[in-house]
Amino acid sequence: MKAITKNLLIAAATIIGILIVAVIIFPIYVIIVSSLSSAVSLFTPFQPFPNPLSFQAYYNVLFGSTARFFHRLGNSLFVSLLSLALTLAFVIPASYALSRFRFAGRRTLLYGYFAFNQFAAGMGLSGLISLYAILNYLNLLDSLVVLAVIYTAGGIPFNTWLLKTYFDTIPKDFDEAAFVDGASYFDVIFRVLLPVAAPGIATVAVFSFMGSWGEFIIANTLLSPENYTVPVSLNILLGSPATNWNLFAAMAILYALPVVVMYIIAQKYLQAGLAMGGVKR
Amino acid sequence: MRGVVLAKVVIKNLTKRFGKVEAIKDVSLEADDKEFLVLLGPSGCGKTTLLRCIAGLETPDEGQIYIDDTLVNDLPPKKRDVAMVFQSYALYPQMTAFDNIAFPLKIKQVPKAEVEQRVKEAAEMLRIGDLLDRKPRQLSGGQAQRVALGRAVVRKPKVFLMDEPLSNLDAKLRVYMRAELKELQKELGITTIYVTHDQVEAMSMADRVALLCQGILQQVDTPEDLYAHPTNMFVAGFVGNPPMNLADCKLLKEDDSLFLTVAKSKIKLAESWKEALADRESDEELVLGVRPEDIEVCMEPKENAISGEMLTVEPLGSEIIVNAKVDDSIFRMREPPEFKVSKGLVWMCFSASKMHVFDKKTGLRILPVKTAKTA
Repeated sequence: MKAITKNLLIAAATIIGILIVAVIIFPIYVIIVSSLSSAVSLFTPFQPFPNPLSFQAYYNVLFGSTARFFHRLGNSLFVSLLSLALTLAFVIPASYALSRFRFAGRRTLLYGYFAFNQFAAGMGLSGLISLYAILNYLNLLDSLVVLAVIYTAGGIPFNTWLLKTYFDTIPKDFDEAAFVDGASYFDVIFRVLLPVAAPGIATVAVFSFMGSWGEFIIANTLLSPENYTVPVSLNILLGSPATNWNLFAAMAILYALPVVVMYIIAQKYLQAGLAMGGVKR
Repeated sequence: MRGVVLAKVVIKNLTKRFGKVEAIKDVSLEADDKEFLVLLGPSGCGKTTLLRCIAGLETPDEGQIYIDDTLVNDLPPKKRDVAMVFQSYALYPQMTAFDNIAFPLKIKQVPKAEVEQRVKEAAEMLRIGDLLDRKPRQLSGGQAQRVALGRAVVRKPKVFLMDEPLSNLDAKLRVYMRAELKELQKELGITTIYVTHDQVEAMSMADRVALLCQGILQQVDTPEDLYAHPTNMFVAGFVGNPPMNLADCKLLKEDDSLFLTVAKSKIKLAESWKEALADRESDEELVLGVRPEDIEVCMEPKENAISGEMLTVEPLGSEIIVNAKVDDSIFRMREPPEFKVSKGLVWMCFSASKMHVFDKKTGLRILPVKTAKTA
């Protein structure tokens, strides 16, 4: 009797799970079908399969004159990778210090970070306007480097918290063993802890990259068409003069591809448990 | 393996505080060149803190630490030329056993060929030559332990510091590793300071044992002397398994003779005690201590014996531990396996020379004149 109830519960949970996944995946499916159709309107009845199958939209995005896809993909990659590098350069030493040292103002800094995140999120549009005003005054509008710095600054508090929490789970014995073995702080961080912290760093890297890659509002406010990133150029496809939905869908998919690749690369490092085995607890 | 280096560790009046808690209180201690010194004590007694101060992982608040006659208080761990084996082993999980052992040499930028040779030497000595390409998670506890030792040995440091390195091994392997570690230390001739809470480990491995309690050094002595001549009640009760029997008693002065009264029993003290107890009042409270193996359990009333009520016996094969109740305390005695178990009253007899007397207030041992020994 118990076994039957248990099996029924498992079956019900599985069905609910499949339904939830279907709801999440359906829009993606619609976009894929749209991108492979010759012409689509949002108002025609939805077709489950592209009929006829056409790669014209992809061809137009990649090689058409209006989209300038590779140029804008390059802009997006530049901003995201620069921001990723800057983020890691600040976040790794900062989170190590916050995890390992007890210094005056440590708690204030940690909770200040947290408060800053909440505060900045609450500022919304007014924050964006003041940012625009300041950059305009400093003559720094329309620069991809500045955009990367802004993304980095925005991501540092959260990512530092994240990695600090990860460092907290790595036994201090590793650092101490290395210090006694003759290592400097540099050796300890880069030769001993970073490989152990790879899952944490991979998570930070994914968050940082995704944050910059997907950001639209600041990029749209600060950049001129020459420097547009992909999300901004995706936006200009909307309603000009009538939205070409299959072009839009094809660009959206091409834009999402690097993120998929990034996940595949990071997955190897994202698996936890690397720190286990070296110390006996 | 190394040239003639006298690696003596001298600790002078060391105090270490964590906030308001004094973890180590004014400890002075020396480990001689090539000596195996064990820091023994219950959890929280400050032994690991003391070891970490020597390693340079903690900064003492007062006092000095000298290694090889050099004051090292302000030197970072890497400049002290000490190697440490951690309780957790702290093997770097991303590195193979080879890389773990080679790590300190690589940090020092020792040439590659020499690194390989020295790692192989150390691995052979520890019989882990076939495990060198394994990652820590692929090693058993005993193997990981050896790799951790290898990482210390390969350095050829002045001093080995070991923080309960055997406590994570199973009982059988621990006994085996004890002997092996001691042999290794003698072979290498490197001054070793070893922390443990296990008194059997301390007694079986140490040249000398330093016993700590609540941050205070209680006694430093050879295992034999620590056992035979404890300076106070804490040492008497901590060392030995089962520990020394300690019973409250009163001094009785009658007609120029001295007695101790324990519960309803009266024990006559030898002449040699007279001088030591001369300035003490009759009825003063003292503590009597006798080791379990120094007591013979008798079934008939005897003079100078303590009477008690038989409780339980614990047959251990090679011996029997007998428990008897004397007033509120339990006496434990080590008897031969042929000991006949009975119920009711028993009398615990012991030779006067095997008796220890402590001051109840200070806990210090009172010494009879003849066998006086300064600790």
